[in-house]
Parts: sequence; C-alpha cells; structure tokens
Amino acid sequence: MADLHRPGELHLAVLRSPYPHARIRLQAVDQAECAAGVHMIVTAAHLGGARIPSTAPRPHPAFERGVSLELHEPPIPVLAQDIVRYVGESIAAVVADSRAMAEDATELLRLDVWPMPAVMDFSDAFGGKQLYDEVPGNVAASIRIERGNRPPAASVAHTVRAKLRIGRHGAVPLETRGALALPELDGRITLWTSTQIPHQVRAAITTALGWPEERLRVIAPAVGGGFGGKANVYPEEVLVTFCAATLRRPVRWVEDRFEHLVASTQSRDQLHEVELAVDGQGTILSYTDDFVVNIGASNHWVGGVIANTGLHALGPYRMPYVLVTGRAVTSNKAPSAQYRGAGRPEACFALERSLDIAAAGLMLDPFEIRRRNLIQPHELPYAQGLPQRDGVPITYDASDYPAILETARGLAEPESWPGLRDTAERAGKRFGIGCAAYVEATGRGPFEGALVKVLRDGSVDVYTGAASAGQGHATTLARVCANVLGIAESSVRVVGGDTDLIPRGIGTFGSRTAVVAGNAVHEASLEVRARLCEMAAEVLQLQRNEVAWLEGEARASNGQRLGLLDIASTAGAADHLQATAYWSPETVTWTMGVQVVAVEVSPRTGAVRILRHALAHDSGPSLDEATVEGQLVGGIAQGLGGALLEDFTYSDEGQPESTTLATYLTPNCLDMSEVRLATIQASASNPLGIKGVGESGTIATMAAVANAVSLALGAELNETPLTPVRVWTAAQSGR
Amino acid sequence: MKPAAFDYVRPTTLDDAIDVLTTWPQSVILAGGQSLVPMLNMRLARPSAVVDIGRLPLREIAQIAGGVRVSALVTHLQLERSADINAYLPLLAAAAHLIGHVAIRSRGTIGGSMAHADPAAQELAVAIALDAKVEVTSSMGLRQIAASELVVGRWTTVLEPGDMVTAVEFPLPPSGAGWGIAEFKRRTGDFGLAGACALLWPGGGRLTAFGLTSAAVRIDEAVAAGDPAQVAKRAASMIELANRRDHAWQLAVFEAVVEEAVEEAARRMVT
Repeated sequence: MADLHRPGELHLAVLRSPYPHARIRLQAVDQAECAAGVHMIVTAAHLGGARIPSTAPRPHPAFERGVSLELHEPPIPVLAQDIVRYVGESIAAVVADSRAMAEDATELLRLDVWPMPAVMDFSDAFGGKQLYDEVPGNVAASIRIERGNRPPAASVAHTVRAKLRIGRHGAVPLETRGALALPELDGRITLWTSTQIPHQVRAAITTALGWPEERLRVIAPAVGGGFGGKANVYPEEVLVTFCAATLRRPVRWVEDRFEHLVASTQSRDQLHEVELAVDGQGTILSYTDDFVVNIGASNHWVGGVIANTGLHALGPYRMPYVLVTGRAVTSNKAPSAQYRGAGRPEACFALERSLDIAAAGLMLDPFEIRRRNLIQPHELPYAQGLPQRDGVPITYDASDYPAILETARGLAEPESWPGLRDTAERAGKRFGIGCAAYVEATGRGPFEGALVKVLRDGSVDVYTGAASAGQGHATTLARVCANVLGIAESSVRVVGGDTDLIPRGIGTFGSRTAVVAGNAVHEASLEVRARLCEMAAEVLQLQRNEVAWLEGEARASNGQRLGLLDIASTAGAADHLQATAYWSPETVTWTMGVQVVAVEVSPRTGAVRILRHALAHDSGPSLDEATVEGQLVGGIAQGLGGALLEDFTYSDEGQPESTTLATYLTPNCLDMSEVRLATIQASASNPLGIKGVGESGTIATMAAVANAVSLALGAELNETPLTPVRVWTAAQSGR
Repeated sequence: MKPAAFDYVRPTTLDDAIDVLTTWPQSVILAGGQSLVPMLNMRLARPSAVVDIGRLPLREIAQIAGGVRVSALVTHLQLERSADINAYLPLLAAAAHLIGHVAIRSRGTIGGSMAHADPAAQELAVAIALDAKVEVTSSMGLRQIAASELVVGRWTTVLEPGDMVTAVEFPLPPSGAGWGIAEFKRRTGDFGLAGACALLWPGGGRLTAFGLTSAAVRIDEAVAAGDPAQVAKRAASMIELANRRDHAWQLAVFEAVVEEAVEEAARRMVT
C-alpha cells in the first residue's frame, strides 16, 4: 500500500484519543486548519456522526434459536464525537501536503477532557459502568449450546474444574493497513485499500456516507498479510474516501506501527471456566464450558466470535453431555475482530488442557485419553445434533481421527523422546510432550463468485471478490481454471478484490476461499469450456455433441481440432467466452487435525524451547501442496506467538503497553523450529473435494505447547502466553 | 509517526561538526541512527537540528599500546567481523554479535551505543568490564572519561551539549584471562533482560552485570565466592533492583546468566 501513489496526492493523519474512556470536546480546529500545508480537518460533526455499519453476514435464524444467540452490537463511529472509548480511537482527521505536516497539525488540536473510569477486564465489565446505551450490562452477545443428558453422578470418577485464560493477541501483519482514494472524472471514487473484504468495504463506506453503492470502486491491491485483522471496515477507509471526494484530490493514509498496535483490531482475550467429567477409564461423560470474550470497544463480528468459540468447544470427541455458555463483553481496550482461528484456538485450549488435566489425574498417557474419546471412523459422518451458523445441522465429514492422532505422534518421533529427555535433564532442564486435537469448520458461505473470461490472445482472466492477502490465489485459483480448460496455469491471470470487475463478493477469511471461490472458479470455468465447445462446433460446422474439449483444444469426432486461441480470436468470441458463477456451499466443510510438540523448559529462567513440532491435518485433496504447507507452517508460527510471546497488555488505568514491536513480541524466523507435516487427504463433498486450510495450523498450537510445558513441570499452565515469568512461577510450585 | 521538523547538517570534518554542535542549540548527533531515528519518528526526541556525523573519518580500529582503539563510527558488525578484534579482544566481538539483528548491527555504531547508554548495551558493558576509556571531543578539546563514569543512569550520561564521543580505548585483559558473556532474551535480536560479562584469571576476576539495573555495574567481589553457581548466588545478592512485580524471577534469570558467563570464562581461562 505504501508504494501506491497518485500525482497530486495529499496525506491524512488521525488525531487519536490518549484516554481510554472520557468525555471530550475538540478545540482549536480553526487554528489547526490554518497550519502550514493543511487542506482540511474532518470532525465527527462534518460526517453527521456517521457510523460504520456491520456488513457481517447474519447467522441463520435456526441457528440463533438453536443456541439462544443474543446480539447487542456496539456502534462503531467513524470519528468519536463526545465520548472516547479506547486509547487510539479516531477523533479527527487532518489532510495536508505531507504526512509530517498533517501530524504537526494534529498537535495543534486541543481536547477538553472529563476522564471516566476505564472498564478493562471481565470483572470490570460485568456490573461496571455501561459503555454504550446499545449494549445493556456491557454484554454484546451471548450464546447457550446444550446437547445430551447429564451423566448420573455415580458414573463420574474424576471431575476437572479449571479456569483457562487466553491472552489478547492479534494479526499484526508484516504490512500495516493503508488506503488511497482517487476522485475520478465522472464523480466516482476509486479506493485502494489493504483489505480482505473489498465488497463489504464498498457497502459499509457508501452506507456510512449515504452514497449510492455505484459511486465507489474498491480495489484490494497486493496486501501484505491479513489474518482477519483486515476483514473489517475501518474509520480511515471512510475518511480518505470522504476527503478525496470533498477536496477532489487523491488522499492517502498509511498506518504506522503505533497506530496498528493501538487501533487495529486485536483478538482472543477469553476466559473459560470448564468442568470435565470422566469415568475411571478417562471416557468423557460431560463437558461444560462457560466462557467470556473481552471484545474491547467494538467488534464487527461479535456474533461470529462467540458462535465459533462455542461450536468448536465440542472438539473431535464423543461427548454424551455438553453445555457451552458464552458472553462477549465490551471494554475500553482496542476494538477486536476474528483472528486466524477465530475462537477455535480458544475453544481448543480450554478442552485440550482439560483433557490433559484429567489424564494427569487418572495417571493416563495424554495420547491414550484421546484415543479413548475420539470419534471413530465408522461413526463418521457424525451428526452433532446442533445447528451450524448457516442453520444446517452440524455433521463432521468422513475422516479417520485416530489415524490422524497416531500420524502426528509418529511425526514427532517418539523413539527420540527418551534421548531428548536425558539431554535436557543433564543440562538442568525439563522435557515434556504435549498434544492437542481439533475439528474445524471451513469453507463457510454464504457464497463467493468468479468471472472467467477468455481474452482475444487466448489467455484467461479470473475475477473474484475474494482478495488475496498472501494466500497464493494466483496459483491455486489459476490452477482450478487451467485444469478445467486444459491450458497452462501461466496463461491464467487471477484478479481478486476489484468491485468493478465482479459485482458481488464476500471476501477472504475463515478458511473459505479455496473451497468457496475455488468451486465458483470451477463452475464458471466449466461453463466457459462448454461455450468453447459450442463455438468450436459452430466454426467447424458440426453438432455440439460432435465436439469435445481435451488438452486445451476442441476435438471433433471427425478428427478436426481447434485450439483455444483459434476460438478466442473469432469475431464475437469475447462477449460469448465468459461466465460468472456464484457458488454457495450447502454448509461448512469439517476438517480435523492433531499437533504434537516436544519442549525443553528451563526451570531457572522459564524459557521454553520447542524440540519437535508435528502437525497431521486432514486438508483434503490439495490445490497446491506448497500453499497448503505454507498455510500450516505459517499458522503454527502465529500459534507459537500466541502460545509464548504475543500479548496486548494494558495498565490498570487503561493505557496500552504494547505500542511497539519491542514490547509486542511476534515470533521471528530465527527462533522458529522445524515443523513436520503430514496432510491427510479425505475428500469433502464439494465438486473439488477440497477443505479450507488457512487457519488450521494455528488452532492447536497454544494447547499443545501449554500441555507440553505443564507435563514437563508437573504443573498447570492455564494462561497464555506462557511467558518466562509464568513458566518460572509454575516451575517453583511444580514438582 | 513522522518526526517534527528539524534542520539537518552533515559536516565533513570533526572541527565543523564540533562547531555546529556548539553553536546550534538543542542539536543531536546522528551516527548509525538505530535509536535516534525511532525516537525522532515517535517524536520522543524533538531536536532543532540533527548533525549527521556519517561523513567524519571515525571508522578506524587501531592497536595502541596495551589495547585497542575503536573510533566512534565503527559499526557493531565491523567489530564482530574484525580480525584484530577477534584476535585481541574476542569478548568485544562476542558482545557485538549479541546486538539486535544484522541489519541493526550493520548501521549501529559503538560511539552511538556509548552515548545512548541503554541499560542493556553490550559494548558499554564490555567497556565497563575492561576499564575502557571513552574519548570525548568538544570545543574545549579532547578528554577521556572512564566508561564506568560515563553513565549516570538509564539513557543518561555525563556528556554535555557540544560533546561528541569520538573513540573508545579498550585495554586488553590480563594475559591468560578467560572471558564469558551471556544474556537472557525472549527472542533472538531482542534487548537482553539480564546480562553478565565475566573475566577470570588465576587468582582474580571481574564481573559486570547489565540489562537489569539502570546502568551496567561491576560486582567483582562476587568472583571470590568460588564455583560458578556460588558466584551467581553472590552476584544476585549484590544487585539492587527497583521493586518490580517480577523481581524474584529477574534475580533468578540473572543468576542463570551469571553462572553461564562465569562457566564460559572458566573454560577459556589459561591456567
């Protein structure tokens, strides 16, 4: 984004709140407007108090009823008017000749301030000062999932009760956010923005500004990482659009890292209170999980956050009785959103830690307790007796969960464990093994579209609303099209995320693009292939059924052949040789996987080193093996960040403490250990047979690492990240 | 995150540089820029002028009687890779290697590191461990300050406006001395949370703690405690920490790094 420029561009900077919660009155706007190089200052009043509407697809009514979903979504103002609710909240925007001049002018703006107590943690939120009229008791969403019958008390041999806390971390991509708006001669605005959801950005901005949707074209350029953090519509996207339209000049804003760490969406921050009852053999009898999510000031996806957490709490196990209750509360932390895994890592952490605690209580091997509870191959497809968010009853797809568990264990080389333990103990360290299993709903709807178009030179364009943020769509989606048309992948060009090229789209998130956009490309390519045959038949003066498409050319039953280029260069071909398909999955596609880690822990410092890291994952047949591996390993890297390093901390007064990359610690390549992967390729029921993989690597990492460290120390590590202080403290109290 | 406006001056001679520093109020020196530039961008530093000394001839590593003289603009990477430093002062090369990442080491300079005086600065700790002298040039001429007297506290030195660090003179440790330097950091490339630098020779030794306290500090008396574990215990008892939440853990970590550094030094000692 920062490399995108337009002649005559102006630069926008944002005045952000230094207060977590306060009444404010903005002063000295006139003086700041007179500062050198300043073209415009925008306040909430200029925008008529505009808000960013939620564009997230609503859950199906059958789901809302089935799980008693209640939503009270906090409003998201473009600019704060009278009250600020987090440090970093946008209050005013300054447009100037340079970014430095714009920042100079923000320093001239003054705030009258009446501070209010900050609501920071769960305990503050419940019964604390209500932050929004629209959010009674600060509870923005709640859910209740119950299934089965409570076990008779006599059958329960052991009950685990635990509090499990997942810290606040988030996407923090290599490239921060950014947006550039360009007024066109016809009065339209073209907006380049680093987003995963261009069509939703178009809808939200035009709604916020009261424009017809056609007035705005949104393009997602090459985006340097999204992970859910860019699957939101942000104030700055509205602001550059508004300012470009008002000033009739290009206006750009590139987020700096400070802004990113205080005002881009964060995630996780959950507390789970669980009760897991097992019999004497470790067989699960019941599982209850009461969880709270601290969403901060707002969340575009709050329903999704608690639904995803709740539904994935059931895991890959037989559970006679389940009760999951969840609430999302607002606070004066930064806004939040889905982040890679989106509730699944949190649910996995709660359940998989509980299983290890139960195993320890029964002196059972952690692998053994899972073997005894995994849903068996003959039980799949497995009906959970609950509705998915799309209203369709949840059915886990066919697979072999026990085989995946054993594969993951084998990858971690159990024969090497005694030697690793010896080496560790000789150096005064401890050795531990941890595993964690998960199921994952991927490829959610409601739809994604693709337009496939043969150009006159015989090359093919594919347009889709699913914008790439590094997922390799140029490879995977091109391959889907190339396979159908029997042409070289290099002659297929994939253009994602331009709202003028395809009218509707949802976006890239939630492990959905390969499945949903992939099948749309597949369907549209099939239609184009049929049209190629039709045209070939016309040219060859044959019947349609006398022509077949093979290896990139039309072959007639009489031996005649006609290449793609021959057909494409025929008069009138351009209009005919294109097709759009919108593909809607009937419901999600379920995958499953297991991670195993071996760790060395220093009881003296609390340092944790990963010695072995293995992941066996049911990815389905892959569109591109390197892409699948990249997704899984990248997912694990971010999982390790959450497990060991990343934490958005706030002072008790509400000031963010993680405001640079020296205090918000992301994993780096120098410390990343080798990951051993096995992909199991059980086909899904969609035409391509594929499953989503974007989030899979992240899900089980926190749980597997915490299980390994807990086993190593004979202690319970129930809070992420496992900082050296926490691990050291546990080591002091462990065996 | 763009700096407030400032004037930029790039003198080509030391005299000109000192002249600019003396006459320009609130000027700061830009050497490798690894600390100053982020501070400018975050507007934590708001100088009226930035004096870029990158063109000054201060990039020399030279042998002097009984030691090595390192000019101020020598980068950490130069130190890490210099054949002379690796031959005569391998401790300094090892300390330089511990700094940040290659990109940081290829720009950051020894003079900048001394003047910035971060509590975790490895080369400054080595300078204090070796009783190095920091050479300072100003309009009054040239003077030397003992490294241990340069630092007042976190990011604070005795340097006055108009002063420029121009070199550091490191005396060589006693012959046969073994050395060790160890740090605890969350990730490769981070600032160390606790560090220790040990020098041991038959019948004596020195120990320098850095990272934990507001300035690196010599605690040589700990060396007399005996074996590495005992030295570490004694060292931890000698450190005064501000009463922070993680106090006990910090001391435990410090103990571990001291033990590591002392073990290393003992291994390298020629008896």
